[in-house]
Amino acid sequence: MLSLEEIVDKHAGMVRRIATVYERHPDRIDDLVQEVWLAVCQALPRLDNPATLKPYIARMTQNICVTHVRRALVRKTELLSDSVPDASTPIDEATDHTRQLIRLTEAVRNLPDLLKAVAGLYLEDIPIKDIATILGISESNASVRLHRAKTFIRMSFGEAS
Amino acid sequence: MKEPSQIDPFAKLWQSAPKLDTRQLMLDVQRLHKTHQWHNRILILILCGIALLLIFYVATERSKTLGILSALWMAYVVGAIWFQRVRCGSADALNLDTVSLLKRMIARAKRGLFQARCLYVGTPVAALVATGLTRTSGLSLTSDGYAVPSWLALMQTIAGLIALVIMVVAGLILAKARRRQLQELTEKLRSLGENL
Repeated sequence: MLSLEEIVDKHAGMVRRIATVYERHPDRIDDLVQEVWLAVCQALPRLDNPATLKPYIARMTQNICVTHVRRALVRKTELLSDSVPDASTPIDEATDHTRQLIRLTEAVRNLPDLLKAVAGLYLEDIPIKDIATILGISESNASVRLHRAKTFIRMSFGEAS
Repeated sequence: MKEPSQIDPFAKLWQSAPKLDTRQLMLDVQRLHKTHQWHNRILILILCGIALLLIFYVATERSKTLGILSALWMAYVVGAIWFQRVRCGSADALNLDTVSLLKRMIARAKRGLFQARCLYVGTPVAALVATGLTRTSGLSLTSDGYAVPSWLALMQTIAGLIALVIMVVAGLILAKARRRQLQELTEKLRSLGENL
């Protein structure tokens, strides 16, 4: 069984990227990430199968992020006032790769709620079967959503669907 | 079978974000975990302290409740701790799928709305009914001949009224928040559970 340090080191990127899909403000992303790891830390002794760790952490992140969105909606005005670096804003130091990454993050963020969850998990290499289980929807439903999400992302990158 | 990051350029790009420095995160998580544990211990300590106090009162015959209050209190504490353990062990809310989690949160929000309604409607109604019954039946808290000074009776009434107003206001605020929460959760559940 891996130690908490090793688990955090291995999956910290995934947790942060999923949180970034649901939240723009860096401080609140940090809060979300902390909340997820605290929940993982508390649930770890009850986890009997280490092989399912990645989908398990992804599921927790997804659930905490959904709960977070509920709270953030109440503070809608506050969220709108956040100064968020826009993908279209030129960043002098940013490389082409960084710009593409920011653009992709914005594209996923701008997806409708029902596609955002599927896209966020798919991009983290979670199999479609696990995505369906995590969200509590059928596999075919998850596949259709994923197809639509991909089309949206391609369109926002200016690619033909 | 190949993973999306091996065949999909978007998944590859998504996962190419720079690796994070997790040292500070680990420190923060460990600190928060310790704080949570301390909170739990302090809570258990307070509950046990109250139980011991009640036992002491019964043992020294300062209270004439024949230990019923202590027994009820301890049963409540043991029941609450057992329920918490069993619930955490069997069905961790975060371990549910998102749709089930939303359904559970909707049920909880409905319970919260009911409790809020009890606060802002039930409490004043109960207070009025109790006052009415006391007046009509001739019952009084001071019927055993223990005389309460008039200024103390007035203070009791004022304190009671203030507590009532606070409960009503708190209930209204809570109900408003729960209604909004319920609406948002239902919309979210509809959008997530929608069949395509």
